[in-house]
Amino acid sequence: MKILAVDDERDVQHLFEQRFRKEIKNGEVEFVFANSGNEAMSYLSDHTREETLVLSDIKCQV
Amino acid sequence: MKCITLTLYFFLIIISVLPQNVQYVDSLKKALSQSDEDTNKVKLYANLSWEYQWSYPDSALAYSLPGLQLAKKLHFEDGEFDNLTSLGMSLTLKGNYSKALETQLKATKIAERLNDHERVEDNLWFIGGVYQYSGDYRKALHYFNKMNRKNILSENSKILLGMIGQCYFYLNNLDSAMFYIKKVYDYDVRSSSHWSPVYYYMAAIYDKKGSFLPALDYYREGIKLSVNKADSIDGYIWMATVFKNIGTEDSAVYYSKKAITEALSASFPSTVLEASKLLVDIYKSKHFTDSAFRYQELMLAAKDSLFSEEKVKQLQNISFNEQLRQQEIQQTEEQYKNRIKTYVLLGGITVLLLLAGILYRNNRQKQKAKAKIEKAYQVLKTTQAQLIQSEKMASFGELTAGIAHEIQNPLNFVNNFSEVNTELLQEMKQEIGKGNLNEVESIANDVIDNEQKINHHGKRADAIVKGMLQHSRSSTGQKEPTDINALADEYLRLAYHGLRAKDNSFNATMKTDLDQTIEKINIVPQDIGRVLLNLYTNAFYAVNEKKKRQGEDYQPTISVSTKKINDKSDSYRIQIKVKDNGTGIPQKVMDKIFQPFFTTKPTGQGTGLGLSLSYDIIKAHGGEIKAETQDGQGAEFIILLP
Repeated sequence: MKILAVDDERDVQHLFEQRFRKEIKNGEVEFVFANSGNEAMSYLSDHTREETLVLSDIKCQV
Repeated sequence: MKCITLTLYFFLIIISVLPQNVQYVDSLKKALSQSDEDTNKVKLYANLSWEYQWSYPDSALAYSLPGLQLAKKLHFEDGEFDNLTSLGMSLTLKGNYSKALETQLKATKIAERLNDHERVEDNLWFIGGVYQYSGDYRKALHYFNKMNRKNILSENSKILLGMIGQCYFYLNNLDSAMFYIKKVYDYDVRSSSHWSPVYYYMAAIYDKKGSFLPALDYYREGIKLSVNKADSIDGYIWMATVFKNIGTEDSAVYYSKKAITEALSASFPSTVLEASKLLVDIYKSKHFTDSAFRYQELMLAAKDSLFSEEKVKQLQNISFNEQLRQQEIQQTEEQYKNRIKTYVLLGGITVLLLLAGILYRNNRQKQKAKAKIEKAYQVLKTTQAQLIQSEKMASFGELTAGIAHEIQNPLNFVNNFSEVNTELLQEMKQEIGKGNLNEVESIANDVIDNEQKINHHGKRADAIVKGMLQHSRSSTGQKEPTDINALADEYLRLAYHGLRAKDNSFNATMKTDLDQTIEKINIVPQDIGRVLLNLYTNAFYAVNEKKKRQGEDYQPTISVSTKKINDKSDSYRIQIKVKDNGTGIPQKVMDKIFQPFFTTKPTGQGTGLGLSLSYDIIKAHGGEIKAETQDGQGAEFIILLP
């Protein structure tokens, strides 16, 4: 399962990688990170239908 | 010689209308007989009386007495005066000086009561005349000199001047006499109606100086020009005297007898006295005892009628009374003056008191007003301080939401990382049991990393709380080297999140263009932060308002830029621009936006202190804050700091 996490806090990437360390290792989930809405949108337009889940900060810089 | 003064009284009507004018007298008599008992009749009596005055004083009396009675009955004071003076004149001519003076003084009171200057002057003249007739020349001069008329030369006043000259003549002041007489003589020679006495006095002055021949010439000229009996009789007596003095006694006797005959027929006792005295002297010197005795009797009779002891006494009495009256008048005048002075003084004091009162009242009112103003000022100052505090609290409130959001993130990290660490450490324990040392080391490194993250975010939360405390503190802040870029960015986010916390739907593009070459500058961070927060809040408010009006097509944008000014000539080193594309500021309020309590926000939403406080803070930093705007297009605030 591929997950896109969108947050302007860069430490979110680190936290997620730690938290889901085992799952990542086992290949259960794959994380992609974006720092802003725009970055996320451009990623999504480049990689069509790969992601099954998008996690996003609701209060986040565009 | 005294009797010669007799003919002086010529003034008023007499000059133009002479008693010889029989026709005029007849017309007056006719009018009198036809007249009713009215004021006009009083006037007719007076006129007729004056007509007879110089030739027949007894007839004059016969008209002035009924005239006076009628005037009194009618309470016609003008007429009373005219008849009284005429009566007085007749009495003077008849030698009854005491009665004459009394009559004239009655007239004085009437003239003064009427406040008729012309009549007052005439009366002065008549009174002076009484004294002159009675031989008191000093008193006569005293009255004449009171008259204004003596200062002009006219047909009327020439007689007055002549009389003044005569008085000086009899007082033996020949120079003064000549001064007046010559003046009148020069005037009379050129005049159409002549006055013989002035010729006599020219003659008399020459006579006294011993020039008999010119003296006789002047006398003859005077007699030739005389217009009434009294005048010509006077001329005869003058000539008789000259002839007697130079020893031509026949001529002296001739002129004396001529004078006596005429004087007796006209009832002029003083003239009779003078003439008979001359004749007695001549006859005595010639030892003609009979003739001398005859004229002596005549002389005594005349003298008796003129200067009986009683009459002299009466005159003295009246003079005394008159003096008393004058003194009274003076006293009254002085009293009046004193009264006026007192009134003026009282008036002055009243005005001063009033002024003082008004000033005192004003002063008191001023002091009261001052106290009121001071009280109001104190209240205002307190209110202002409270308002400033509430403005701080308001901005603090705006911050809280932002702060809550800001603090939430680091706390999340702290919590999550510490949870992760717990998991990692448990995993590590298992790996240690397995003896998988590589894995243990890897986990340990992750734990250390996470601990650093925890520490970092803990500090971050700490800084936010500290900043919050700093903001709520009163501005006793110290200047410290501050990264202006970080400050601008931090407060931008605080403001944005604050607004988002209140209005979830709000969104705006935030652009930052921060000059990374700027070194730390010495400022009070919480103060400048407050300024930035104000500008950001205003900008967000403006774009939000526009968004509400324009809807989806409008993209709210706030941009912040910092710039280092490298130009050495410029006194400022740092420029901060806060720009929005909101509603803009109306041009007409542009010069008010920095005034305290000025706000365009609806009541209750703005204190009107934000920009004012910002202005004060920037000024205190030695900087400058200005605004540029295009109505409807957005606004730009520029802060310049040294």
